Amino acid sequence: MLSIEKLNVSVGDKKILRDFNLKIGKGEVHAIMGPNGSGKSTLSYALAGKSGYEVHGKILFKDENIIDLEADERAQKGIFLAFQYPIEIPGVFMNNFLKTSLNAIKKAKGRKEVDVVEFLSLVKQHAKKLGIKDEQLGRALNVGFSGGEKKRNEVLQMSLLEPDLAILDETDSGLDIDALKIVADGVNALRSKNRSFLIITHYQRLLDYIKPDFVHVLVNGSIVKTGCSKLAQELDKIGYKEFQMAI
Amino acid sequence: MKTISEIKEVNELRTLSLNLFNKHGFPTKKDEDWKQSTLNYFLESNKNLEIYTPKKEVINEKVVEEFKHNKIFIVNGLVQKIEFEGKDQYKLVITSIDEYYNKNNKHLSKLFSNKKNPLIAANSGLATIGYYLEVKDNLDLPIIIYCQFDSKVDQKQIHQKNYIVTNKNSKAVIFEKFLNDNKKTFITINTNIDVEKNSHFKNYILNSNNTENCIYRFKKANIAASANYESFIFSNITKTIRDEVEINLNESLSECYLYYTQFLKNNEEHEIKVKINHLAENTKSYQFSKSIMDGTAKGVYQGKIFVDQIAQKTNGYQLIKSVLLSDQCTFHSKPELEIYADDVKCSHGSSSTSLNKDELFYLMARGISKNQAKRLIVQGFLSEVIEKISDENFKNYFFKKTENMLS
Repeated sequence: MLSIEKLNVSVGDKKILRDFNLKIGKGEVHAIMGPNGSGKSTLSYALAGKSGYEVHGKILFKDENIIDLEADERAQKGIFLAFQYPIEIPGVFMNNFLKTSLNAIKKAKGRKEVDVVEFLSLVKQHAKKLGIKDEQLGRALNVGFSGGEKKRNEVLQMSLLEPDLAILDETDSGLDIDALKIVADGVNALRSKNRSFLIITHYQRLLDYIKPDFVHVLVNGSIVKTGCSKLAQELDKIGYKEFQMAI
Repeated sequence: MKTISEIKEVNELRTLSLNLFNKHGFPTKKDEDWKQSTLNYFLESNKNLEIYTPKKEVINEKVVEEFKHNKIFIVNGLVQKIEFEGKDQYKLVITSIDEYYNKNNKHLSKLFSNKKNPLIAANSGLATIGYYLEVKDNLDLPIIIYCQFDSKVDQKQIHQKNYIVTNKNSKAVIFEKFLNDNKKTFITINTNIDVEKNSHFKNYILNSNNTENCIYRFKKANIAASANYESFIFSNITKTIRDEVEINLNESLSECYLYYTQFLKNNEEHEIKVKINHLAENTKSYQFSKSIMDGTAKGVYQGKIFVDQIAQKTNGYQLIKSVLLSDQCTFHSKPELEIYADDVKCSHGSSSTSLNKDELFYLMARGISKNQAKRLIVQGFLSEVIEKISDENFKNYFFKKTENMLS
């Protein structure tokens, strides 16, 4: 599904990712854990195609190097980034945004676009599963949403857009236990043999609910250790210090 | 009936105004209020335009809105036709302004005030046309005033003076739709408005597709106790147009709400000038303006809140925001507060920014193309103002206008 080879990302003179390599197979769930400033969010932005970074290397997504593609083209190909801090956009209403996004992706895939009636029925169905009220769908995008509402909204978009690769950037931050469970259940419901996940997190907490196949430790822009889900539990006990000291 | 120049009181006021205009001349960049104005260029090179004499004109009825409403057709400054629906015909009075002058020779001076403003002095001195509109009760339907100008007025000047009164306890929605097929015309429209006790007046303006003329619209509104005035001006594809308003909140619990959106690209221009005078206790004013500039467009917003010493418990608010989409466009904002009372709540804010890159990335990360994402952000930005319009029908009307404008 995804093969990252020798990815180097910098902003100005500051190198953030250094010769970063990662392979994610179809249907696999990978978790990347690391201390603050290790490059986790930069990795998610670089994969989603945010401008403002100097990026070198290869990002092969379904065997195609997407490194020169814009963010919208990557999303249309099936990459989804659930933002750590979902952006508030005043005046852009949820329903309008979701419908525009869904149809942009459907159009790119050569599928039939949905009309208003189909869309409303679809979105309400997905929203209900995540405990999102109809009233929220009529509000401006993320404006005045609580932390939990914003994260649930990210999962709602993910379930509507049905990506092949979902990157979850610290989806657990700002969530209370109940909200964390709802979000995790939403993600788990989307797990399938054709969909891969890259979960970026500081803590093991989220991984109690979403069991990863592989856990990677990211320190100073490179992966320093890879293991199974038990590695996350170890990290929870020992922290990142020994990895940082080893560099 | 006597003509305007035969009514002694009017004639004296007109002569006085004309003398003032001749003394000052057209405004220039040296006048603080006109520093950023682009009307100056037009007026400098078109000083001697012939004054148009109005006559019976042809109405363009193709532009009539489909929803039910009361209609007033004004062509080249003269009321040509009225169609008031159902019971509303008994609640409305419309006459020409000279008929009003003939019947009311007292208190005319208030229609000829603002003598320090050179273009108002010109209007007062030269206007021979206009209408008097009186709203006597709650109207069931909105009024649409179709203000049409055709090629007969090309390279001429037209000065129009109107007077609108909403009587005690009445409610009215007036939508002014400007349709210009003319070129190089200098138009001044001075509308005096009295919003009487406990009455509600909503005034919406569609200011679009007009880049060939120089238009100065000046409104002066006097708001009485517990009355309110709401206005919204939608500007798109305009040039050398200035919308100016002066509001006097004369009595307790009077309120005004002024909303503006501008979407200007290429070399388009539009100027807004607002002055709100809080002249009594417990009055409220609210200004909210959002502008999108692109190309080499120029937008101007001058807004002043004046609070008199006796106007305690004033609540004044002003927020002016603009987004600049290109390196060459400009937006000039001049927010001002002048406060002489000590127990007031007044705030003003103004910001000009470029398009938010994080917002753009968020939408693009959902598969939305860059152009469509920009459109959504722009539409959302302007929608925040339109959302404030209290009349639901016109709110939807302007939402659609914005959507069509961007599509």
